[in-house]
Amino acid sequence: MSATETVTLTIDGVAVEVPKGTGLVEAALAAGIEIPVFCYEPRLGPAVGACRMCLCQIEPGPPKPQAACTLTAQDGMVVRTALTSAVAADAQNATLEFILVNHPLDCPVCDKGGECPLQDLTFRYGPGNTRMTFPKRTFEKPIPVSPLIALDRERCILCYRCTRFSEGVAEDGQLVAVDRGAGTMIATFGDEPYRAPFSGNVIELCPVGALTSTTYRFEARPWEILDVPTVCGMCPVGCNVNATTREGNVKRILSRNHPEVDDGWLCDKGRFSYAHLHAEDRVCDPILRVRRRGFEEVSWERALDEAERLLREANGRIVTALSGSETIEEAYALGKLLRRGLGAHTAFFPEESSDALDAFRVPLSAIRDADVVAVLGDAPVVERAPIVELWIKEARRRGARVLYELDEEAVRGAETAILVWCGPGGHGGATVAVLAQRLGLSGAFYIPETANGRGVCDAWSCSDDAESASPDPIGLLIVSGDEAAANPDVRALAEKAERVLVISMFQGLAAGWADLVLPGTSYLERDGTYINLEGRVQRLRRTVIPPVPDELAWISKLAERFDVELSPYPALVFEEVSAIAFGGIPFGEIGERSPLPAATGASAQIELGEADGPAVDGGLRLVRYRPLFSGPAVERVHELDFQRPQPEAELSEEDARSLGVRNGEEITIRSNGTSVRLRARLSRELRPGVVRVSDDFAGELKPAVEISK
Amino acid sequence: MASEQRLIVMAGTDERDLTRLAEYEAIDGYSALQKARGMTPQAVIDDVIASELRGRGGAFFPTGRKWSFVPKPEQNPNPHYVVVNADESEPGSFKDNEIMSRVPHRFLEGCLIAAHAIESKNVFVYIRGEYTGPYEILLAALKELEGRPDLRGDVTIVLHRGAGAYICGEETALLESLEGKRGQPRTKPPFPAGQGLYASPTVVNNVETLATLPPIIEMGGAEYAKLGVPDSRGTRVVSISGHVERPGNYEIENGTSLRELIYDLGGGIPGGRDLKAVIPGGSSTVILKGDEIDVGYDFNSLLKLNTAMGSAGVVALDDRCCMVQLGIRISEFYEHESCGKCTPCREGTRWMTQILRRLESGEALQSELDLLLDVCDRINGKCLCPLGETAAVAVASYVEKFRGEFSAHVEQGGCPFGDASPLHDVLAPVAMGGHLPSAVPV
Repeated sequence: MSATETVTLTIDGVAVEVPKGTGLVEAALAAGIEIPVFCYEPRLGPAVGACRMCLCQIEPGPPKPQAACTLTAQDGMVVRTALTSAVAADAQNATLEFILVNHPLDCPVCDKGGECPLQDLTFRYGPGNTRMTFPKRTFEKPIPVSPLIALDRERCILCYRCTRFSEGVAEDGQLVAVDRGAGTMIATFGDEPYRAPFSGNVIELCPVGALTSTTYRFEARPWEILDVPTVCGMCPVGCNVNATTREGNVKRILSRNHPEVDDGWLCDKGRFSYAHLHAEDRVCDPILRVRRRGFEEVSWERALDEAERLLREANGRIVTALSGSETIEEAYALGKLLRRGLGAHTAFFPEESSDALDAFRVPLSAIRDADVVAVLGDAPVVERAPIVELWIKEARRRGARVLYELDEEAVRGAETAILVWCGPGGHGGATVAVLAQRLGLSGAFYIPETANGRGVCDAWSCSDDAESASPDPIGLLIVSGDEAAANPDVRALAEKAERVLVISMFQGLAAGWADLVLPGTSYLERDGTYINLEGRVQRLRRTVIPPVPDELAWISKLAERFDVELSPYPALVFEEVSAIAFGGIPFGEIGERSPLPAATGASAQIELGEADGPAVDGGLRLVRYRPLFSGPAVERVHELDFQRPQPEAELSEEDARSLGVRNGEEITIRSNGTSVRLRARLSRELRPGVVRVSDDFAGELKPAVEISK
Repeated sequence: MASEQRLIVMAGTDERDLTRLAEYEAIDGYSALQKARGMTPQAVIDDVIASELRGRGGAFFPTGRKWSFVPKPEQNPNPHYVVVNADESEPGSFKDNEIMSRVPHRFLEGCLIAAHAIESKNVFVYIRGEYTGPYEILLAALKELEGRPDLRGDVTIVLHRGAGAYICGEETALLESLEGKRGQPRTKPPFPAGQGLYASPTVVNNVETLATLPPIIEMGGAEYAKLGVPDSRGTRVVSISGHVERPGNYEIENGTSLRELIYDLGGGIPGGRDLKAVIPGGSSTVILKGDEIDVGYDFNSLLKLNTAMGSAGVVALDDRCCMVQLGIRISEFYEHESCGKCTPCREGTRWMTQILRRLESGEALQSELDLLLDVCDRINGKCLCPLGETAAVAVASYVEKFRGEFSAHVEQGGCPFGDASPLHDVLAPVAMGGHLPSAVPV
């Protein structure tokens, strides 16, 4: 690679050399100088120059102050900010005076107060008092933009960050500016709720307290909170987040920009699900089935005795059903206890996993820079790994061709082509790797269904080498975690098991079929590690102390009873796994923004399996998917109810044409004597021959379906 | 300069109904297009540069130079676009209305010449939504052209009606609106020449500018440049309105004195009243006092008085007019038309109106006059586009030139003119076609 071309410019007398094309705001930052901004946010696309906060004196250029945010550094440019230019200082002061003319200045009751860019910049650059003696502009407030977001139009400074996000990043086009001039308002079309998977980002983008979270409103002040850096555990992307805590409770989730993983965006599931920590049916004590009275809460001592008894009585005929949401340490600990202590090697994994794609490992951000992105597998990416969808959208905006059907010529012809596999037939990435190898791809991703399925699988296999035949009948089924508890296949296994031990956070999921329920914890309450869909090992931190001991604590206690040596400390447990699987990196060195391990050499040739799902003769193939806003945690956060999927079936435009179906029309989907009636939604992101319906509405439909009006 | 009209853009309208293609062709219409097509695009650009034609929309940018900034197709393979700014919305200007209504074919011929010059196959005419009359006339003229591939060539001309926003007369807001987005200006750079409509090379020209092209090509740029005065060559269609006997459009040679425009062409002030002030180039320009009108109506002469021809809307105000009321009128207009994108314009124009209203009511303090000037000063030079800036400059000029009258509002605790100020005659609709010689009733 050639050395980056640089330019040298002077900012407030400081000479600074930056790569060509660097924006002036960033160039100034490199010189340690602030150019204040409100509307400027490079992640939202080209600068718009709307707020006029960044006005500086710049030569060469017209004598009047220039919006620095819209300019890039040029050789020999002389920039004078408010620090050294009276013209710039007056211009910035003027901008703040104008912004404050109609701003309510209700900082004492505003959620943003204390962490508000408008407050900060006013103190640094603004007028000390007001010359405005007229009644300020007023609006009805707060407006519920959605059950998650409240809009205070009086505080809004019309920087258009939120509408630019909606239009240009999430591409949902739902948040818009209506009216004009001083009467301009942020609104949704027809005052419909802002119903889109990434809506919460506008709260974080808002530089004032105009868009606030309904769940955080009036909950805390910035000087009494503690932000704990951790990783979201709601999907396999593993967005880096800060959990804002106050007095031991999580109050909100904010993004903690990892530029390779999430680019500072979160989905609403990751942002708002934290309320499940306080679910009404949270299991806070072990629950034991007692024959005559049903259930009773028991002490931990009693619970461990019961657990020990169940384990011993099963006599090794144990199956462990995992969720894929356990930390690596937890899964390893369970594995070590059960496999080494009891010789119970049989596990039921939530999904297949494979290391075959490690040869094609690239960061998610590589999607953005690809020329061709092939999105295959037919399941909707946004429902499984929402942030990946944003990377794909950005790639498309930058000119990439996004294919939803494999066009080998286009893929081979591209300089950089990336494959994203989402849906059935990927075999944990194994078949995807074969495809990637055949096509000579720059990178490939397999999108799993669980947040840490890969890590759980790896940890389980690290915990012991021995194997055993699947027990039949099953003496004891251990159900680890809520996702496993909610899994119908696991429930079916339980029917065949003599005894069931469930580890769960929620009574609603565990009670009724378990002989013993041990309280579970959430990803927000654990220390440990996850592996995301890139293969990146990331650190989870305990953001709050859970109301129950975490899994590692009691598993290690239980392990003592079976003479298995197991530390209750994640750092020590990780060390054991790391020695086998991660080249011995210590827990403490994973860091807050963990790096992506280098791609491995191409793995041995793998046989290409059925990469396309079951073939269907004629008719259409139904792809059913788990919607993003579902699962045990989401179902306990009522603010997210409105985000549940609509009764819709997605059809490709081509199929819709040949069936004579219009967008929004009611259709009947039929298979083997069962049928459902749904609204058709035409999608350009679906190949012909496939119809897509969320699990919520797919009923008993089989893969081969027919559609009629 | 003689106080008579010089018909270049409007030539032939005194004898024929040039809205009809046959009539236009009878006076050698579209022959300039044929001549231009016989020239290389660069030769056309050079000829327009030689003519020293400058944009008639208000910014007065040299047209030929603007074209020369457009990359050649081999430099940028994207489609090239000619976009016509027919969104004439400046209070006091109504010249494009009459040009489109009276010489639609000359205008369209100009569009086709421009398309040839920048090697464009697509012309978009963004016409003010309220201009239903000119729209119908252009539509009919286009229909006539449709049957004439020899004239139209392979160029597509699309008429697009605006939806009533003054800001869409700003070229980048116009492009946004044309693309189907909210009409708000873009930051420049990038300029439309390189990245205009759909991020492709684009020239945006005013109606009159384009309608001037056929005569320029016909007579040759150098010949055209003999008309007018240095830096302001050729003619200008001027809209004269307000307190004059004969309001309407007049085509004059640049450099004609403003006094002649008002007193000879416009027929002077009704009732023999005194001229108090003149808005020389549409509502956006710095006002002139009644005794400042012995000045050539051209770029340099007006620049010496810190004002401009703008979009050539001359508005005369007689001695009964209240300058505070005029300020409110203008400020309200800009407040209403501010797009809301940039802070100083959005908040500042509203604040200006509030202060002016309080002045008019007599409840203001003397210090608020300085506050008003300071607010104007804080808007000026800090906005994204010229809208807010011109509002500030215009209103500030009223205060500076009529400070005594503004002070009187404070001292007397009310408006010295009260309801008698006849501003309803000002910036009000003017009948078209009354004063340009016309062969047909308009």
